[in-house]
Amino acid sequence: MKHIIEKNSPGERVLLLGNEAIARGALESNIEIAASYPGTPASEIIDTLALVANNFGIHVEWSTNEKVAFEVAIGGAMCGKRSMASMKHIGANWIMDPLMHSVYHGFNAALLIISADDPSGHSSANEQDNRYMANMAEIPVLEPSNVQEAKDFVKAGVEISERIRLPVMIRMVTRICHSKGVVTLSELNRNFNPPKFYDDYHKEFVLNDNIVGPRAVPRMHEVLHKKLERVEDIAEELSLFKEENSEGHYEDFGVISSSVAVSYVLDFIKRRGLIGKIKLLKLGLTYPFPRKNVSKFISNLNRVLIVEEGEPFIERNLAALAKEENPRLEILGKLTNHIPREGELNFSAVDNALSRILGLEPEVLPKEKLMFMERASKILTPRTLTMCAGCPHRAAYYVAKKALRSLQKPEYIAIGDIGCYTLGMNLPLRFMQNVFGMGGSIGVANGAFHSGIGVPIIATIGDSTFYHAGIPALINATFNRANIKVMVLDNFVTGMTGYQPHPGTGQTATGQETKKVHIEEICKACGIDLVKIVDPYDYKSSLEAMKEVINFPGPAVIIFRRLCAQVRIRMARMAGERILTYSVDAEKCNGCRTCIIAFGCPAIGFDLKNRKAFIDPNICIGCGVCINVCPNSAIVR
Amino acid sequence: MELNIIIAGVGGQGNVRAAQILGLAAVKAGFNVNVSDVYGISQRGGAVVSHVRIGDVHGPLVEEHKADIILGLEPMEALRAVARFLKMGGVVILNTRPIYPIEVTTGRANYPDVNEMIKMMKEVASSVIALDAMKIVEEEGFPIALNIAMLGLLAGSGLLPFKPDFIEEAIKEVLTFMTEKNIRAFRAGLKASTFARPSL
Repeated sequence: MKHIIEKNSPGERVLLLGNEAIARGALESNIEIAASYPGTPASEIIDTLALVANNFGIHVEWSTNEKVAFEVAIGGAMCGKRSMASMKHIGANWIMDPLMHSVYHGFNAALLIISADDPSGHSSANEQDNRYMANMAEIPVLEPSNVQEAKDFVKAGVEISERIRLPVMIRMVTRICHSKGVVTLSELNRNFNPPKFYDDYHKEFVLNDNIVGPRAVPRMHEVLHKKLERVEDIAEELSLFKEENSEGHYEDFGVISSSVAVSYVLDFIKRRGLIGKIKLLKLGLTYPFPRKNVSKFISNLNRVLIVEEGEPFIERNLAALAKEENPRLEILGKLTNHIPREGELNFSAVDNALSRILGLEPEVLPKEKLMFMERASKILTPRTLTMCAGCPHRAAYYVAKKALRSLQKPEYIAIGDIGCYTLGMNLPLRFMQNVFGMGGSIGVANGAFHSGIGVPIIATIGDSTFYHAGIPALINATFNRANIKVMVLDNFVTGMTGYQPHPGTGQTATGQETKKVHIEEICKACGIDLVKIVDPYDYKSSLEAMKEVINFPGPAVIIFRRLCAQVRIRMARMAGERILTYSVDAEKCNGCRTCIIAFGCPAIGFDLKNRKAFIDPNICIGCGVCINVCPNSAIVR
Repeated sequence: MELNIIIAGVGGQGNVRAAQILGLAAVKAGFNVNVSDVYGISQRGGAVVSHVRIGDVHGPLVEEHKADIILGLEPMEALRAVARFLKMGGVVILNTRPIYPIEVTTGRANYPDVNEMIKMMKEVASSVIALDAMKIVEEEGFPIALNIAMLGLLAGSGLLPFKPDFIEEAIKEVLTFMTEKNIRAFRAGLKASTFARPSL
């Protein structure tokens, strides 16, 4: 069946995920090369494009990391193909090096960066507003405010990028990436540019004048600034600024907003019966700061509220502008505590700010609801994330803890990495003490070793993360003689982000067969003398191998290799395969709860009445690792 | 017209799919719709809250204390959602079968008594439809379709501004694998809607 984004039915209204809308926008605007590394909330852009790539003759790939993905897009644009790279906010940190170079170049085809911020860190370790990244690189930023615009702004981005010959960033946020909305489709009219190498940089600078360094760089920088001067006019032509209710009921007050925050303002206006009464300027372009449009909007205002997701980016730019254009203007927003500085925005935050400013009565909750909330808060328990039933990572961590204990090394330092296996830091395993960015486990372990702390230093890293950023740090361990132990948790997929393939899976994003790059061979080539490969479901062999690795007098790697439990269960379901599950022999179970406290598989529960453990056959996937956990041999097939 | 629905459950229960189907059904019936899922790392046993907003709406999320209906796939998650989202006099449709969080299985917290939770919900809801919906799908031999059976109960409540047929159409479009079994689960939910019709 055709994917919905393949429909060539202009005018049809369909329900699309924000990320699918980006993918559709890429099709409508004849993007020919799209690359990315998986990262929530951006992953579904490439997931979706990969499904339709072959039908549309687009090159779509999961690259080894974001930097490579962006470089792939640069290469495509340099050779005349409209190209884009998509990534989550922290993922974009990896592209800074090529991005800072790319802004001095000029291609014949569009180059887009789709960057997805994750305010509140729903699926991330930090909050980061990538408009500042675009500001630093000096490239335009477009901010769609809903799913429809997510699609439409891809086209606008392509247009701007080609007219000023610069990369353009489309700044998405979780709440648009992962929201579904009604989108009116435009025409699909695929036409391809023949590939042809062209770069202004080449022609106008380096080769033409044969100049480098201080004679060339400030000149290139000047060209970049000249390009930016044109952006606001083009954006205006593309209707990226929308002013609503210019007459307004509140004469001297207005709201400036961008991204998903616009929708909260619109809901407020509707909810409070103020339709047509509040002046609103919606900015679809926020860098370079649209001085002309904003100046016009604030010229007759005494007060303005800025409602934006992320940092006070518009707010600070406006403060600088207002000094020249309207010094009496009172600017309200995050810096004045009208809008929360941290965390994702929502209707309530905007409602609080606007009702306070406009002197409207705040909404009061009935007493019954307040009492209910208080009582509920007392009995609700949190629901901590945990690894899935049968997850091979749980087995690997359990074995690692056992190995350390049996070698009488209760003190150790373990650094985690970015993936499902980060959950090994949580109860009940609590294996790692710390985690940093992608590949950080091995890199940080290097330094921990050189501190001379004198305990085993362990890095745990997933397969995809290993390819992404683990390899240079592993080479460093050999090079600089860091005696660290690396557990590679290889489950054949990029699990956390939705089971995308990686260089070890033998399949590309679009399902083409490709050569597998083997982790063990990389490790050996990195100079690691002891590389063990084990099946984490095989408890005894894993334990022996882990002990050997810990005792090895130099950097060593142990690869725990077993298919992701979620993929396994899906495959079994598709094949109609019956899963043989395990159960607890109630006679033998003495209620010690070791299986729960030390292992914590979600399939194992505890019956408080009978004081016995039980296994839920709907959740158990039959890995059998828990047999090795029960001290009373009460778990049976 | 504006109808705000929250689907609350636990990762792996099919929250997101149910919301997608409901949203698509609304589009097919000619409505504007926003669907949004709030989850961290889904599938890992965390709480998932899906927001379905039908009609004249802008923001992706249901405003706090403005939900008309809470569709609870899991009782404690339903309670959490009622506390945060249900408007006074809204309706709760609830599967009573709990999924215990690791805090409970490891004995660090108690799971709240289900009957007590239902009693509490009745204090703020105009009606609470609570039944062991898991049993419906177990009888169908298709326990993973709890989410779909719950959509059947929602459609059977008569609170949606469109006919159940639109949901069946949406199921066919979204669930291309085991479609028939899912349709059966939906109809089983619809058939089990023998409760008195709630109103908003």
